Amino acid sequence: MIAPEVFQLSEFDGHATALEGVVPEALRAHAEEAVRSCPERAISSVTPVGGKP
Amino acid sequence: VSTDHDIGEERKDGRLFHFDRHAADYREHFASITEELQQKCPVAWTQTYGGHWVAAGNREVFELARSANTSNDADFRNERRGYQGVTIPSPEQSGRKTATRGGFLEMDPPEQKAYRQALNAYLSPAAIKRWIPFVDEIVRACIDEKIESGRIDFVDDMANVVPAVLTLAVMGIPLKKWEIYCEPAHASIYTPPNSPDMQRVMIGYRQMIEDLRRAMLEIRETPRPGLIDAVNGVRVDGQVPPEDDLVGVLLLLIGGGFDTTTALTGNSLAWLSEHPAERERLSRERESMLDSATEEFLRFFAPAPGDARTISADCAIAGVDFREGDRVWLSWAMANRDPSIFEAPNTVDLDRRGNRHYSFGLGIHRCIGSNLARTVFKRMLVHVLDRMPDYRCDPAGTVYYDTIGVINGVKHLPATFTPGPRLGAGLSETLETLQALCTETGLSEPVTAGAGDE
Repeated sequence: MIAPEVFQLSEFDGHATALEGVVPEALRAHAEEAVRSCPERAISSVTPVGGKP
Repeated sequence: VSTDHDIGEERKDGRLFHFDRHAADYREHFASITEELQQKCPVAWTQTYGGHWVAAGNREVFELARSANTSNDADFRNERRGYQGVTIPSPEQSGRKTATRGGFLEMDPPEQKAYRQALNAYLSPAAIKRWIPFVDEIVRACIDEKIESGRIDFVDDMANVVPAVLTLAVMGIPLKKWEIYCEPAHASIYTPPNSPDMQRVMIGYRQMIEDLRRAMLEIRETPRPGLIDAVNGVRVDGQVPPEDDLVGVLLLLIGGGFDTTTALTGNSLAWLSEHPAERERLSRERESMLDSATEEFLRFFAPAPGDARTISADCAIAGVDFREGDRVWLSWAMANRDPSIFEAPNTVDLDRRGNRHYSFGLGIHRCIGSNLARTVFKRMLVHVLDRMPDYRCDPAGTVYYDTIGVINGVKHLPATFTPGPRLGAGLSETLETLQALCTETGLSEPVTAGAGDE
């Protein structure tokens, strides 16, 4: 898993879920790599209102 | 199924391309054929095998694989729409009179989903992690059989054995039976349909099917944990599925578990032998490189190079007018070499990031054993790097599959290395120990919901 700090993996069925909340700046690079690596293109990132671009 | 496809049809104009994955020189010319297809027509029409589309572009494969207007159904008895499943040529076109549906890979939802849901808990990352010490023991024993001699055939002596033994263990089949399964599982894939050897291969294959059927009925009578027990519990529309469908599911699990990981391992070890500096770097920096290298080997060698679909409703996808009944080949292998997605696509870059390869397929039929495959591959690779770091494969003795149309595999991969000491028992003694471990520790049990949430 590329960004284990940002996603939770279900032990039961193996599906990943994004943890709630804003991704801390320190984990930004990992999260963006996860977006770029997902073959299903199922992950996207959005900038929260008032957040840094 | 409509068979009146006229190659003069307007929708095929400018898209005609001769394409035959089973041709003897396909492996050699794969990169240039891919390049030509992607430049000229990322979705092409070929007249081979009754006429079918070939999707070679990354974006096009993505859209088709995830479209609701494609079907995986294999309806060999013509009870629904007569679709021919995920192989091209279809079993009928290959001259095989009796064909079993290829498990849930040749089913559509909701039927397909019933099986996937039953099996997920045995194959999730958490479930597979429990097997690592087991896998390490098989790999150790395989290497111990050869380590003092300085010679090994990486396919025959290791990459065939480890995935086979583990797959049987996960299914709930006695480990000592691995040899009954191993040869037919591989030979049925690499033997061309017209080969004189096919008859002998099919005898072994039928013995394997009968053993699977017996195991299934035996486990139904006296349940023991594993994938077979899970398959026995599947109900479709509240009904027990036909026995042949269940046997097809078990064959799919054997096919998925055995030949694919063997193919990935053979190709990767051959590549690392040719690139000793990269091999040395991978071994030294494995902490940071093993994951990306594994994904890159998957991308580059694409053990299962593609799957067919049948278009289930007239539709336009990626600018092509598809008609209901059209057959389409989705080439994961070619999509993995698309320069619009992968920089220097024909180069192996063990540090590659953002590696969106399709080697496990895409969408609802994505490989259910991907976690198992990655784990088994990595453990074999690491043991080889540790115990025979200077191995050299013998190109003259290396035998690739006669056809790579189904699996991009290696039949034999002999190598030499500096001999080393044995670390433990041989293979047959180890299998006995591991069998007892399976029985005593309940390794083949599923991971239950919520187990990891405490």
